[in-house]
Amino acid sequence: MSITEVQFEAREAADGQSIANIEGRSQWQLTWRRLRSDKVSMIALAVIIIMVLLAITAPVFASITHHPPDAAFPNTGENAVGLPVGPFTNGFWLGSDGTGRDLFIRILYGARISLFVGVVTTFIAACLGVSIGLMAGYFGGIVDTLLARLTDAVLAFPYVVLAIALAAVFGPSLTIIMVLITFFSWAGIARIVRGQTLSIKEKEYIEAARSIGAGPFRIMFFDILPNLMAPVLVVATLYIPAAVVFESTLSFLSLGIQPPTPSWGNILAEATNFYQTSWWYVVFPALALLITTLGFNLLGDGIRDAMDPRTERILAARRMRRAKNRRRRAAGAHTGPTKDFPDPPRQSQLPLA
Amino acid sequence: MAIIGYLIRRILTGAIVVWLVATLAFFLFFARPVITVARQLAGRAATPQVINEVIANLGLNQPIMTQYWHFLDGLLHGNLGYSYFTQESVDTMVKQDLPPTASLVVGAVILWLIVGLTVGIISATRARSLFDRTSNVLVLLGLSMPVFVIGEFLILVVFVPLNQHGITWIDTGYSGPSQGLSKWAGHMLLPWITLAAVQAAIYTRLIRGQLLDTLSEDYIRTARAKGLSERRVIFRHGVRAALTPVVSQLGVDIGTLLGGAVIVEDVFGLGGLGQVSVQAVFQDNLPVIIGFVILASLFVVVANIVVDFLYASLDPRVRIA
Amino acid sequence: MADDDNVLVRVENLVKYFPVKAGGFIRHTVGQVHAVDDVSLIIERGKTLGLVGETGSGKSTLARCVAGLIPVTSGQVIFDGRDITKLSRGAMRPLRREVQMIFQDPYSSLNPRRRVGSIIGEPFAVHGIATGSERKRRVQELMERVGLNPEHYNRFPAEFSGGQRQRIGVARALALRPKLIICDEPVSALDVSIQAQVLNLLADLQTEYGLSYLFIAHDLEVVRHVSDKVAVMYLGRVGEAAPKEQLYVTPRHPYTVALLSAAPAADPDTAAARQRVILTGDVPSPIDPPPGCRFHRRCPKAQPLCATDEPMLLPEGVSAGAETTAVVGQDIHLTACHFPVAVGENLATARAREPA
Repeated sequence: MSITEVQFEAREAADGQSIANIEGRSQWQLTWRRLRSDKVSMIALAVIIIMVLLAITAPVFASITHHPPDAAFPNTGENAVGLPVGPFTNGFWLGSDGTGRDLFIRILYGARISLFVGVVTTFIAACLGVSIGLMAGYFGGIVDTLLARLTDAVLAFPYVVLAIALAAVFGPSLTIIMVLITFFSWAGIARIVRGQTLSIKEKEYIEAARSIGAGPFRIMFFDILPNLMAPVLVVATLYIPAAVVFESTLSFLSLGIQPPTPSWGNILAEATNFYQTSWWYVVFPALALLITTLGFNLLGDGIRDAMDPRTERILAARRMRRAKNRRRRAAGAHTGPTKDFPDPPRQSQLPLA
Repeated sequence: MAIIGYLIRRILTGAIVVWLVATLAFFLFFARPVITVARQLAGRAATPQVINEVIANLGLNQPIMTQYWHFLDGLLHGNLGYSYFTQESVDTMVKQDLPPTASLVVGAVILWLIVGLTVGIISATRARSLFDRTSNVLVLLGLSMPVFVIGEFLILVVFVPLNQHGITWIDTGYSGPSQGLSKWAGHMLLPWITLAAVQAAIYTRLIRGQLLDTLSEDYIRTARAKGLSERRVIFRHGVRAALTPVVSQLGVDIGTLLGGAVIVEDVFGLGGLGQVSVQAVFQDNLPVIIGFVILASLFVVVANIVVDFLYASLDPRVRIA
Repeated sequence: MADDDNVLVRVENLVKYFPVKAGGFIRHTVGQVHAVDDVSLIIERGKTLGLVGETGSGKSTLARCVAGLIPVTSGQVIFDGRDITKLSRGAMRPLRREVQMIFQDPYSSLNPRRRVGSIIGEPFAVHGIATGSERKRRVQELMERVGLNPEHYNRFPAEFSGGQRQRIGVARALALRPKLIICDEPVSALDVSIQAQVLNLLADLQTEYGLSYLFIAHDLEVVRHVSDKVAVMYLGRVGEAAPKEQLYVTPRHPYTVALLSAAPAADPDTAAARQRVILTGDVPSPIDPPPGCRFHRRCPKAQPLCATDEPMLLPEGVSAGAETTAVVGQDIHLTACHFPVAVGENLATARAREPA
């Protein structure tokens, strides 16, 4: 899976040397260029950045609206019969919740928790997963068998069951959730890393490194790891939304973040009692959750396609086809898809949308 | 013959896993100060008298290893303990609460496999058509939504309006098949869709991807060149090869399945094992939780063995490994 | 014993078997691949020993055993007086400075994610010799020495042609001034015109630095160009070994004769005049080598004796069963054959008396 593609032809001067002033582009620069041209991924990235900014500036919004996240405002926040008020009433931007707290502010603070949990757990899980996967793949033998069994066991185990058990023993808390999520995330990453390591290990340049006298850890860190970063990055970007969903699910079941600390999950849990009367209570937190996870998923897919050198050919082919269609349309011909024989491309060649 | 050896290995490993889980659960729960344990076993509402009774009945003052032996002994005889909180044995509770969970799980699996396979195959054979693009978008949405959001959404959008118009066929809560199949379906329809939705998205994408890759292999081209009908090519050759990763994914998904079941039961009030266990956490009702943990791991192990067996029969190479 | 001061590497009775495993429940070994089966040789300081053979003859495995990259099944590799087969990994490390390897595939022997300067400089880093700007300076010196532009220090391997990549490999091998460089088919993957450039580079470096080479190839003409002594391997054993010109002018082993007859000749008249010796039969499997001479099933001169008695490597004129101290890599023409080819004998018309 060589992804170092250079997008120019190195011409040889008469004495066999390449022209000195053309600098080659690294893998990351190439990926970024491809990613930049993918509109969907750019939108997803923008959405994520906005979400992060909103989360960071949550206290600012709290002071603008004079509604701290945990404070209840029974006078302005509840209507005559004690039910939540809708959006844009009484200074509540998105309405209020069951006890008269500002829904918008609570959603923002919930974003802080979700994003924090999502990113931190994925990061730790990635570090763990990469280390363990690397060692299992490189050393092989007993170490590998043990680690592979362990990984399989973790992957197959229902997390909710463990969450229930731990919550019963220790009581629900943020730390428990983070430990739990990290525990279940590292296995997936380790499995992928192990697979990649196994195939990279057989390459000749690894043998060359050994012949120089490099020790196993040096080889793992300097030779194998750089070749792993691409798939690890994709997997990590896709694990973040999984962690976010995980956390909100646990909070929804009241096994996670406990009220009054806001989390999208526990807000939605409260909202179940109000779905007939206050649609905003359900819709807005759900939307926040959806947008965040969708954003990361799209970005992850986009990065995966951007890292695949085959995408380059597909994009080029697409550009050519569009140009051809433009010409044909100008000449008055039909330019729809032809249906005589389906020619299925490889799945990875089809970026989303 | 190799497959028998393979199966035996898996069963042995599985038994070890269940034993490990039971042991871990036991020590996790019981290796704490006696009073804490007793209080959790007796339930939140227990009086000191009940607590003492619990200590006496379960021999909590005995050394931990003795308790462990009793525990294992009881397990092997099928005794999962007694729930003081609800005044019934855990076995009874399990028998009561298993049907909703079982209905939910079985129905959802069937639903998502059918939907996933169908949509996946059609998408792959009509790549880049409108159907394909639409299903891609839906798949992405499905993957991004947590199960409980889908559940609440369905309630909001289907159950509430229908209810307000007097249609009560779709309902929350549970009613067993013995009380009328139509009623049972009416209660289970939304839960099935909820649990199946995310998984169907995963499988659609998986099958579509696998099938696309398989269909562009040379041997498919050969099959077409031989003059086989397109349907035969797709099903006999294409799908067969694409199925193996699906089956292996199934194994991994057993765990997700249980988790999802718990959530769906909670959202729709089905009162199955999952929901009961979650409630047990807040009732400090430890026996139920222990019973659930052990049962869950047993289910996961058995299901995994079945899946592995399926996989081995699909892919002969596995048996040698 | 030949001049021991002149001998850099002495390989004695090297054997390397790879186990073949099978079994569903319990993995057990059902056979062995006889990759290298009792090979002894010497490499003299400043000289090149060429090793020729078809795929599966064991030459690459032998090379890796000499380099200390894979453990041997039995036998010894004595490098500069020390037996390296018994050394632990830690003890091997300083030895790595003395023995280096150049690999066959220029496209996979360089890490595509690392810059060239880092690749060439890695030996310095591993052995803690030079750091920072000193390392960079030495790397650029090396680059210049092998014919690369030192300004390309920060480029990736993908930006170089095959020949240039192989030069990078040479520079990396040269970094620590080793005594022995093992070249595992270093030019097989290159265009013919580039091959000449790289071979000339290797020859220059040998003169300049007094390097010894173990040069492995399957192309006879290439081996002829670079080697002082040549050995021909077949199915894990050496069939014939001699100083270069003796092997090419008066080959004695039927396999060598067949190989030489198959090599393309540039002159069409010579090519037409030459008679091809066609080998019949299939290449036997190294898991189950045939009894007697390993080549007897394909040999045009095979006799009943060849199927039962394995011939020893002997100098010309020495009869079977005699003791000899001659070893592959010396100035002696050794052949392992009961009925070596005589001068002027035409093998193309020979008929074996032993059914294949």
